[in-house]
Amino acid sequence: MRRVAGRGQAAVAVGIAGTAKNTGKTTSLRALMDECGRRGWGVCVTGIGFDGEDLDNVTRLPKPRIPCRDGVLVATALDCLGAGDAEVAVEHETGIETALGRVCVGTVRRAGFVVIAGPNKSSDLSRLLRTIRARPEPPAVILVDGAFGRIAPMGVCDGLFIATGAARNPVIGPLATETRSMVKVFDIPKVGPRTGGGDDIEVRGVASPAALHRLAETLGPGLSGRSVIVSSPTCLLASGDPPAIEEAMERISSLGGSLRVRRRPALLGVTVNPFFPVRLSEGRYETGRVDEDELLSAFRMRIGRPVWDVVAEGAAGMADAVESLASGMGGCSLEGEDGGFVE
Amino acid sequence: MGKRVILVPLDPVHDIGLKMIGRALSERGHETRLLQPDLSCEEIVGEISRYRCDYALVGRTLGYGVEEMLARLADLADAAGLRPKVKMVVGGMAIKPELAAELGYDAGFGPNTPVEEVVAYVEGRPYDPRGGVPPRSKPSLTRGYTYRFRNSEVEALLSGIVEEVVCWASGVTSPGVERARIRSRMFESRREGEGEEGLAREYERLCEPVVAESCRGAGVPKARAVTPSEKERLERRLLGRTKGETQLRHGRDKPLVFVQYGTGCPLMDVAHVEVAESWGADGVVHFDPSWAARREGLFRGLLAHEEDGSLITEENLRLVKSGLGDPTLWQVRAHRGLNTAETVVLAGECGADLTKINIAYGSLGGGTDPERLAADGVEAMRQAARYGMPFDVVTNEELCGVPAHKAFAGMLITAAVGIRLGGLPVLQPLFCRSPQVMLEGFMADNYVDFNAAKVLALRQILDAPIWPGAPIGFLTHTPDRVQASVTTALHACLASSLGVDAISISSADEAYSGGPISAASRVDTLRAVREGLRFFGRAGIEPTDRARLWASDIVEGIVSVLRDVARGGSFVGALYEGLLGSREEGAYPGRVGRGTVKKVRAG
Repeated sequence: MRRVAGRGQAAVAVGIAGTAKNTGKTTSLRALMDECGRRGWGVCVTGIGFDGEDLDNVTRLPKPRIPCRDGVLVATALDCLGAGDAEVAVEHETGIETALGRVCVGTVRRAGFVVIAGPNKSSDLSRLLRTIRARPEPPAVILVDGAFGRIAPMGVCDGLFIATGAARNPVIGPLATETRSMVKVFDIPKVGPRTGGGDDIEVRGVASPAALHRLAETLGPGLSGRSVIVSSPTCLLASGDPPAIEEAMERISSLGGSLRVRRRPALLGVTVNPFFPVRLSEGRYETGRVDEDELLSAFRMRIGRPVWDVVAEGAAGMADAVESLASGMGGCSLEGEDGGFVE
Repeated sequence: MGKRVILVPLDPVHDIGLKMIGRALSERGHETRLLQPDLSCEEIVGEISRYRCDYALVGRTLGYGVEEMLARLADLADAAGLRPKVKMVVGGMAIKPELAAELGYDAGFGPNTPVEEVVAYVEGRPYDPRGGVPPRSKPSLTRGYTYRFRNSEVEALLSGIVEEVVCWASGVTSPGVERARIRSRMFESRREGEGEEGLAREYERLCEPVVAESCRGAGVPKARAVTPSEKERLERRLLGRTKGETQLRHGRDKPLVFVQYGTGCPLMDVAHVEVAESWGADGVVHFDPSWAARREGLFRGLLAHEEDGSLITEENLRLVKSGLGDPTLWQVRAHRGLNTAETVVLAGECGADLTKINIAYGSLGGGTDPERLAADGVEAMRQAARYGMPFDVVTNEELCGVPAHKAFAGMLITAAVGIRLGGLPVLQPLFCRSPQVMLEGFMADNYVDFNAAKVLALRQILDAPIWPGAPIGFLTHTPDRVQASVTTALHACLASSLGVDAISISSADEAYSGGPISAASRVDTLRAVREGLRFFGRAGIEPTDRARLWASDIVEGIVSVLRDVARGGSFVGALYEGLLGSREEGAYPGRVGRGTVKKVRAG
């Protein structure tokens, strides 16, 4: 069974970023963990929020828990270790501090539920990924669960799934349009060998749609033939709504310029969730649903990326996408135990 | 070195916490800047970036959509590359560390967080909630009391009655007395590494068959054995954790607050005790089922009982003890059945701090034969003295309808016997709306005067600790949890104002739970008591003049009862005859164990 990445190879880090609470991040994570298990891949699981609790912190609605089989590597805060019923043998403390204590890395010795609160900012997540990859036998895949609609920390992953759905917007048309805009942001080309020269404009830190519009306003035709370089698609998405970013991209393009990113995780696909919480009054919620078939067909028609409802379909497609990403990284492929893997 | 701290109020109304933190930080030499409350996330990130701060403290009360805004602010700061240098902290109502982690913050502080805790976080040092004060040690209920009588007539009357009781008891024995002594020898044998088998067989011969069989591994009625895996899971999840220290009192050392546990399951008891400790209880009381107290002998094993009340076994007690925090006082009640003396031995060996013994209540309201409980009660007090374990003397017969002065007379006789045997009794008057009170209209105007009168009366008689119970506010509670919490808190405030040593409180659903007591209801009353004691601080409640008049009436009534008992020449006889509570009043001499007391053969 393929348990570990090869010597000198990086374990592929895959995030599941949501567009809001209750869009199915943890459900997608669970499905992907199951599929990784079926395929015999060694997995490390962590997250940028607080996941695996039985009730939502805000709505008090039930939440999916995170079951872990024996041998799964877990990176979570010290205070969370006793919160699940899985037995985790802690191997080391990372020195990464969180609101729930220092992040520890350990292996599940007795299967059960875990509660995950890992590093919740880019710099700390990046540090954790380095730590995991530096292990003598790193896992094949590092799965990073998202939190709320937070996306900035996910910029340090190799690949991403977007989890969206009716909790973000129960009106399917605008939801699909917004998601298509997100895909376009992830399709912004990386800086090439000839970009980043003297004429190009580097935007450090936040590049909000308003800032990009101001840039277009100020330079006008002066943008022609120049690249506006931002750090990553996730930095763009953290600063504004996807349609507003798309609009700013089109304005720069109409002036003859182009947007580029320094680095970008591969957007591997989108998972959709028809469920949404309906707020009745302060602290009281009930559940609602949109039509699943309508949701899926609208997305598949308009997104231009694979789309899954993991509850109905499982995560085989997601795992295929991860395998494809891994094989594109350093020429390795994720294979089963019998076949070994190619270095 | 001073830190640069930016204070970000997202809410124009609830920024007082941030202002207090800002002031404390400034006083300690840190540089602070308070932003205006109506900035957008982009503007705030711009300010954080320009100010080049080390910490951004964000304050906001959670409301609809606020979590999303807080998450976006954290994300934006991350995207701007600020997070490696700037620690982001969120505080406010409904904020918990779990939510802070989820929202992307480095730390989260909820309501009632002390300013000093946030200052310590900013300064990168551990927060000491005690502010340098050493850890709480186990309090004493009896320290400082002389046990001298202040009423010479009562002293003289009790002196005669006590001599009669002690003399009578020295000439009798019972299966309960014998078991207590055997049990004591079993523990001594164990300590000396000798076998207990012979003693165990001797012990079993003094038990009912069902109990003897349980000692040999048979099942117990209405109970099942806790499995090793259940115990192991409890130990893994609950035991050995550091416990928080919540202070219920404000500006006073008294009263210590006790809660009663007894879910039936010792594992659940450990969890309930932890809840009680976490919310500030000073002590816990082991509540056992009455049917087991009416059996000859104590069961054996780690046993979960299917109804409320946790069986008294050595294994159950040791498990509960292993979950108790060091400063928590632990009382194991022994007061009312056929195992009274033996329970005291077991409690003492398992590390209990207190027990509960009363001959009068147990035999007039608890169903045990007066002669039997007198014999066993005296032995129990001898054993309690041997372990240096104080015991309270409860007066629950008031709930049956016995007037307070008669119940107090019975309590004082038991207490005086205890003192004579070298023990440390604690007086436990009820703070309750008893049948007597309802019939006489003593609480027609207020609940203060008659309860205060009881305490004043006892203080006129004896210099001993007073622990109203059990629980305070008995018969004033309703199924409404808010009402039950309020009445508990008000009785606690009265107790505090009267300067008594301890109180026992119920949970908000205890009287009307219709099933197991819930942890949430336990917290209800502890929180309510804390709020009440905070409200009054060192201020007091002023009873009316009637309290003093009623106190005099109670003392006169006690003297009158004691005269009658002394005149009769037999305490046990007085119990049967109704001098300490009659059938008409609601006191019925118990029948359990009748005829089991035997004279000790001379020589």
